[in-house]
Amino acid sequence: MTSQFDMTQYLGVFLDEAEEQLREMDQAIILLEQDPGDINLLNRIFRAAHTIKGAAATMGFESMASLTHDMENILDKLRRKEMTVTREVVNVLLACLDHLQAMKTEIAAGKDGRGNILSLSGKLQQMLAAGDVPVQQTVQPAEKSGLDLNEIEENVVRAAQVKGYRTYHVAVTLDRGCIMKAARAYIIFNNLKDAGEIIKTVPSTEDIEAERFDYHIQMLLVTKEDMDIIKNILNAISEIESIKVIPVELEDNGPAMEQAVVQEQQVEQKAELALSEKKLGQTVRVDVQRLENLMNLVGELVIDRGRLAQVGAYLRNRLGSEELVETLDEVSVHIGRITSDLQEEIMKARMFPIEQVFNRFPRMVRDLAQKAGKEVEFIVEGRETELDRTVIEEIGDPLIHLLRNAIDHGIETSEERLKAGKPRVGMVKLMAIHQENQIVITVEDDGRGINPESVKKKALANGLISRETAAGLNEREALDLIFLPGFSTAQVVSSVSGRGVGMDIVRSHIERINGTVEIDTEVGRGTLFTIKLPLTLAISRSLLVYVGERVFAFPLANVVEILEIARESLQRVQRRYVTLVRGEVLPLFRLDKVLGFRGTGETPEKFPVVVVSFSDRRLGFIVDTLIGEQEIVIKSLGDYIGQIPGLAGATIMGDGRVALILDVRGLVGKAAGKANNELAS
Amino acid sequence: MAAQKNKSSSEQQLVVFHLAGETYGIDISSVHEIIRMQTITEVPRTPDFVEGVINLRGRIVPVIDLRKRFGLRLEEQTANSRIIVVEVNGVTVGMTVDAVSEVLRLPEANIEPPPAMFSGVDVSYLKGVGKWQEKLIILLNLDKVLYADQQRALKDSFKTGGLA
Repeated sequence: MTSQFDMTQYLGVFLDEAEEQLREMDQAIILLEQDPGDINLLNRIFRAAHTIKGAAATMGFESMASLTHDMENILDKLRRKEMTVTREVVNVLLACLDHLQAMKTEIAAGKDGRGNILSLSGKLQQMLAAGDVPVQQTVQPAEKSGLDLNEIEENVVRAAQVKGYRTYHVAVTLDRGCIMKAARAYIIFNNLKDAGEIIKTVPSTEDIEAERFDYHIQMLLVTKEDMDIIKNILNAISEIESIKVIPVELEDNGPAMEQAVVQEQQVEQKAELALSEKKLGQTVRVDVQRLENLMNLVGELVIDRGRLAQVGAYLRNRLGSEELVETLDEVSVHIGRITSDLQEEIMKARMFPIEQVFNRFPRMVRDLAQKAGKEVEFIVEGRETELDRTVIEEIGDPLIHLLRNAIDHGIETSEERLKAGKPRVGMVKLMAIHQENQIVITVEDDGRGINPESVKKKALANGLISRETAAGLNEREALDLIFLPGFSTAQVVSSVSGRGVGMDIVRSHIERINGTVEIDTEVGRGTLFTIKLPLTLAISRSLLVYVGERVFAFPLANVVEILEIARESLQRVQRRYVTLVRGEVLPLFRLDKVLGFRGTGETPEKFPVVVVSFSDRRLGFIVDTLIGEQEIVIKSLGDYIGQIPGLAGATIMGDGRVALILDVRGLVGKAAGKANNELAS
Repeated sequence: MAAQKNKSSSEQQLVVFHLAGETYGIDISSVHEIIRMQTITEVPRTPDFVEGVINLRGRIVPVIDLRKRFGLRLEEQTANSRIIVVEVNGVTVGMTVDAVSEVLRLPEANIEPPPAMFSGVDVSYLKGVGKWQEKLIILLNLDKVLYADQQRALKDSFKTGGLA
């Protein structure tokens, strides 16, 4: 069947849908294990399996269809309480899920996703048999489709196909609350006519006009547009409950059409089963690149807003408060406000709930805990917290690492816990909240905690620090050693973590997206990692400074404070400048020298110092003048120049000049490295 | 139509510019635009021929100094100085030159392969030498001009650059 016509154009859609449904299934199965009696969960799993089955069958992936079919049988039994949800059942369901994932991956790689499902199917069949009730066929006999094509219509479709048009079977279910059904149907027809031609409707147009129909309308649409566009057209119409667009292929005319309709009816039945099913919202899928472009354009606006304000200030200085200047001020303020709103809206459009990342963790935690022979309760809070997609893409890996560590090294075995007087089941908690301009993510466990002393010992043993250094470290500094490359706290190298890579990767990952990570731990009580992330990577609040004629931007996230320091309070210690701030030594560097620019050489009597912190170190950078805080649009220096240590990119200022954005991490690394070299020499 | 095609395949359309008394040509298809000199923001830790970056209508574009690139004597900018913005392999780069004079069509027949020795510019940067009304036009291989040794130069600049 697949060989006869080209399905590849639908492959992407299929994979997307499969991905979505598998994720849904994954979540629901994990929840089911905790709450085996919840019929809604069973329904959710059933629906997901069913959707995949339908899609897989349409695409000709028989193994996938057959496996989901077997799953359905089991689920149906569970739903009708002819079987109970046991751990074994959950394990088998999860195994099925893994299999489906693997098949999906294979299909995505261009293979047929056949996979060996015999053993699994066997298991499923066994389970069914154990239930001792005849297998219920879930697939209803195909009802006669109301969309059978007569010869004339078939010829129209064929002729259209030859000319490169496609034919879709479009099924729309109107909202139950829809009052003027005929009018709504008219809008649907009208909007679809812009995209192509409707050659048939069920019920007939006369019946629809006379409102002689329930809520379902089916159409045959001949069009040049692709499926997504048709869906988008329909999505833009309100009072529609659900939409199905299925390609019609004539070589296979009868079956394809019928199959489509069968699935349609199945879906409808399920829809009735579950009122909780999400409505197809009024959403439009937009290419990420488009959003990026929009963001860039708004970036331009932000720059011009700054310029406008500058021009206004300049005119006011020259002309005083003339009427025209006042008007310009007003307009400038208004444009400023609109630009901010626009910027915020587009930022929001680029935001995703962190759910996307969080949702894959419950399963992972469950598997890890099982493997490690530990009992863990996993709590997730703040799934709905929204983050920029660039940040979301980066945050998954560090979180996986922290969760693994928590389960592998943090949580004790049940016996140990009971002995220590703790509840038998360990707790791992993942939380995200929105705080001012930041997202805070915490990973917490109530396990054994980390002992600073053993961290020190370990670092010593690994040759990461010297004995003298170790002796001089306080608790906090000792804990920070776990972020050093090559440090791993695991006593035993397990299959899960402790492969010698660890927290240093977590930290560098997070710092790459301008975030910070902190550790808080108490021996015997548990460990808490706090990650702070910026909302977006495209725009950042920065402190602009002058060094000579040059303007530089410090990301505000790294700036701790600004000091004014008098020349006489400078001290030279081992060829480094330092000063005392509230009794603590603060190393100082001239920003121009660190960057490799020739400095002016003269040190004024008083000068501003920008104090930055990085990995719990503090350094001060001597600059000439402070300009102030500003929101800047981060632009890359481009491929030709590439990554420059110490620079995060460039931005265009209000007057059109380019300012360089500092990467405090790179700067600190350089500056600190330099300090060490000097100490050594 | 066909005749025109023939014609264009047998000649090259060049943007001609001047640098330290020599006349150079680059293929017009790689030229994005030609702009007046403007403030260039110096970027630290880059090879010395990288002058810095400019704001080209909201885009950050790197600019290289061709005199420095070719190891020629440096001179003050004049009112004729220009930045030629070129696009090579999808990367946009500006090049400072003394002056841009014209766009011309040079018959292929007038172009010779680069000589083994050439006074002034490293031969590896050349694509050929063209003759035009008794003048020699040095045809540049932009790919080489922009990229040859650029990686090494970048690395060197990291090693030596900066902190002193």
